[in-house]
Amino acid sequence: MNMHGDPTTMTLTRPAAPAVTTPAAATPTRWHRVYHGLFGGDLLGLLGLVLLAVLLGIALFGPMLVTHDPLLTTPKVLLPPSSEHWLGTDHFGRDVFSRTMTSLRTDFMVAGLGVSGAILLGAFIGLICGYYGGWFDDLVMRFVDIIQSFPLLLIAMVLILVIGPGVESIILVTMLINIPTYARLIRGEAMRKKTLEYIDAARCSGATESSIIFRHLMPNTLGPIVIQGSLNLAAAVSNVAALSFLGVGIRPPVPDLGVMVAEGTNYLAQGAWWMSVCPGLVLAATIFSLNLMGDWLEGRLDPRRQEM
Amino acid sequence: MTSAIFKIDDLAIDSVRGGVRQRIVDGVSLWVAPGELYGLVGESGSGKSISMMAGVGLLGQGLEIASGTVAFSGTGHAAADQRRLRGNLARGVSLLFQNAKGALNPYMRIGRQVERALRRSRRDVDVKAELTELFRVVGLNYGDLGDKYPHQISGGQAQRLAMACALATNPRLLIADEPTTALDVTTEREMLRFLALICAEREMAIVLIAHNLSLVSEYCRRLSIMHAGQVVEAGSLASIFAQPLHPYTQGLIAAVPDVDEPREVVPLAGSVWGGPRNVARCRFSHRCALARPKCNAGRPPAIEREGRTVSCVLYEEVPA
Amino acid sequence: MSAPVLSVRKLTKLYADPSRPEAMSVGVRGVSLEVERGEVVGLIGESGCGKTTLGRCVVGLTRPDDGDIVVNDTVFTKLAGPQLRKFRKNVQVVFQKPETSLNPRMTVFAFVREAMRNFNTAKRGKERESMLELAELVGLRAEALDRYPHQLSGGERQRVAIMRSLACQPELIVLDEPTSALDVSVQAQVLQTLKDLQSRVGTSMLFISHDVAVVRYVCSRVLVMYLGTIVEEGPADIVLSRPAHPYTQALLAAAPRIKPREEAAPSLRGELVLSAVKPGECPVRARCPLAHGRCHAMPPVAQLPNGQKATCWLAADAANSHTNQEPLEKIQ
Repeated sequence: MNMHGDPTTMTLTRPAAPAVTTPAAATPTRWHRVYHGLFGGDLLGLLGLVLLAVLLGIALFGPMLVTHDPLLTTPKVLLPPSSEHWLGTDHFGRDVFSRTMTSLRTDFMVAGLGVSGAILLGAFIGLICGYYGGWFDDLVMRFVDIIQSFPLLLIAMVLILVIGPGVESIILVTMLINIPTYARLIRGEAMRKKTLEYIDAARCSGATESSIIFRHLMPNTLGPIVIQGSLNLAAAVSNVAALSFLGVGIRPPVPDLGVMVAEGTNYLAQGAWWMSVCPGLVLAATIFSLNLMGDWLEGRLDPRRQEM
Repeated sequence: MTSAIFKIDDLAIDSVRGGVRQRIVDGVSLWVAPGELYGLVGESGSGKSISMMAGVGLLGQGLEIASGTVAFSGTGHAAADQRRLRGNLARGVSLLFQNAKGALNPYMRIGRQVERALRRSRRDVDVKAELTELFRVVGLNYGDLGDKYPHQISGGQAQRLAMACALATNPRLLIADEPTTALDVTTEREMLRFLALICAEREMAIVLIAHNLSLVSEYCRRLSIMHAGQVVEAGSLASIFAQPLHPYTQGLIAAVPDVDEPREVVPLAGSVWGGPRNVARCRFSHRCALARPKCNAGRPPAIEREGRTVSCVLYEEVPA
Repeated sequence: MSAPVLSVRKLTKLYADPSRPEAMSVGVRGVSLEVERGEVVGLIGESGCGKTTLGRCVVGLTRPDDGDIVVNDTVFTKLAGPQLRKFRKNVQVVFQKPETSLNPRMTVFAFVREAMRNFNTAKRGKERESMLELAELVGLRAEALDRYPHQLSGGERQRVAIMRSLACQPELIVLDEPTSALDVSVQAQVLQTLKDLQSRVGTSMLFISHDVAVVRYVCSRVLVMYLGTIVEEGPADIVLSRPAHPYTQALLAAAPRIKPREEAAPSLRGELVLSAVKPGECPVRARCPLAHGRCHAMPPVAQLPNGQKATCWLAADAANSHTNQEPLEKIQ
């Protein structure tokens, strides 16, 4: 017996909202959900993250983890790795392990501050240029082009000549080198997004120009920064090490991975491999983990997966 | 039933993204005869495009075939054997997509693009003559347009060109995935008229995927209507429009404003089920005014009634 | 009778193709129209007819080359700077694409509150209350206020866009294809909302669309646009059941229907090709099945009974002969 009315003759009135029946569903384990949900099932990304966390932890707590004073010269020169000196000593008798720990912090700090500064300045320039366009955009972008066309080493040396050597100069060099990247990136995003309807909607809602630029447009252009920044950080660490290796960057006795590798090359022939290879491996691990992180973030933040 | 050139049986597709398995296409079956223009209608998320793509071996990433068979030109394979099915693309299946300009290579002259499609499938033809003929068939002039680049032609012309590429391989089956959505209404009508024409002329089977019923009403004799991955009603268009049986079909027809007779537009209540999709049930029941507990007990049965198949428990008890 | 809410006078905005300066350009050419208070006026046309440009000019997002837009006795087009910004309150817009009409990084509440704050349409601290009322008015659930756009469906996003417009308490809302990007079932819901709004609040609207069926459902008066000019206008049920202009006839015939028409349908030839249209002639001439010698000159606006107007020589003949029948035979 059909109790609910014959559907073929039922007149169509606006139906009342029927009760929603929720079918039972199987719940995956918590780890499974986190692994697939948060990490997107990307094993390499997970590896990169774990490695980076370890390295950052070292950088943070470095000075507290050292076994010896990194700057203390002792007569125990060129000792191979042992239970007392885990990574051996260098040509001044300083503990390689302790120096590696502290220099990791220096490198992260220099690269981090440099890239952050570049992001702040570059994003601002890019935003204004992208939004307004016209002659202002042309002019400023030409300056950016000029900066970008100079090789890293040349800029570093010129700046060092002007400001003098030291950690501050290296931070400034890193900042300057990376501004064009972010300026272009954000400018592109700004140009792409300024014609979208929600910007027009904000205009119709009575927003002022500065409100439109900073409150509406800016938060939507910053997406690529996270990916670019992490990859940039890897390159920045490498650059700082390279500059120091060439003697233009961080000067001894401040410990720095690049400096350590440089100093160690003089003693490779003598068989003291630990002086170069150990800091070199740590350097490589840092850059590697930052790159993995960058790739993972790119996969996660792909706009095709999510909203803009 | 006449000999079908394309047949899909009980196709089921799962999405395996994020480690969670969801049934996004739940038991789709249809068949198309040569020379027939078949309509496949559904709103966004109904699974119509995914089903057809799976039928020609172009299943997307993160999707898995759970069950089903696909037969083309008499040879059937398991739907899961996507590689075999993809082989059909070289043997008489062509595709036509929504974004025609996007389907064309922006760096290649359009004459050359059609020529490549032609050469790939037919080796021993007079290329120039065939090209001119192909262009003529779709209503374009090879002499005028052959040297142009895709950005130099209009949307309607681009769609015709895509048509020419599709016809170049002399297909027995054409899957047209919403080919007219991006076109103006007047151009759309011409395009549909053209599809109906070549369908009959060349004894070609065409599956026309559309998102509203009115588009298929004039040209298709048979159609399937899909909702949230399930086929709700399928069969003779005349019977379905004369008396729509499934509550979703009824709701769909009532929800579209009529150009000729002003009447109340009655929106469908609720929205597409956004929760988990791994339980067998009727996926319309949560917004159906005639829902009853049996609707959630399992996949709704497909019942033959008055020239069509309707998948609804409401028609189970009443004798045919 | 009170002054119309919107009065567009000879508006012109053209986008010339710099590589071919002598060709016809797309845009708006000398269009005049009016919207009375409480009226929903439809603007029908296909792509390239200039309806979106017209809509943007009316809302003040695009500056016209020539002509005036008068909203409630204020010449909108003459305003600039902070004056312009404050005046924007009176004309609001709802766009076509739900994906891009809301700021992805702002909650609905923050997005709409900005309008309320800028135009002082709600008391400080009472914004949430006012917004809940508006949400109820547009059929949006209360929880949606604290969601981000990607957590809402297309239909819900369009309702948010409508809500934002209403939050400004405008004189006129311009809707540019508000339902074209939505599924059929969702479209019906939004159309119902718009109809409810009209009857409950009496909002004046300019409804731009290419969908004849939707326009007929929502609008009381309709204008048909082709290549930047109005080719026909009048009461919606008259224009859309007995169109006088061949283009309107073709549009009507081409509209998708559940029950197809039996009569032979007039249709336009080919596609809109700008280079085929000469300045000074009827813009539809190149594609019109009823084109003849006179069509090389721009036709006058024929005044037909019941407020129907058509820019066509044949319609002018009909008007002159004081009959109600549109001539359908081809004149050679």
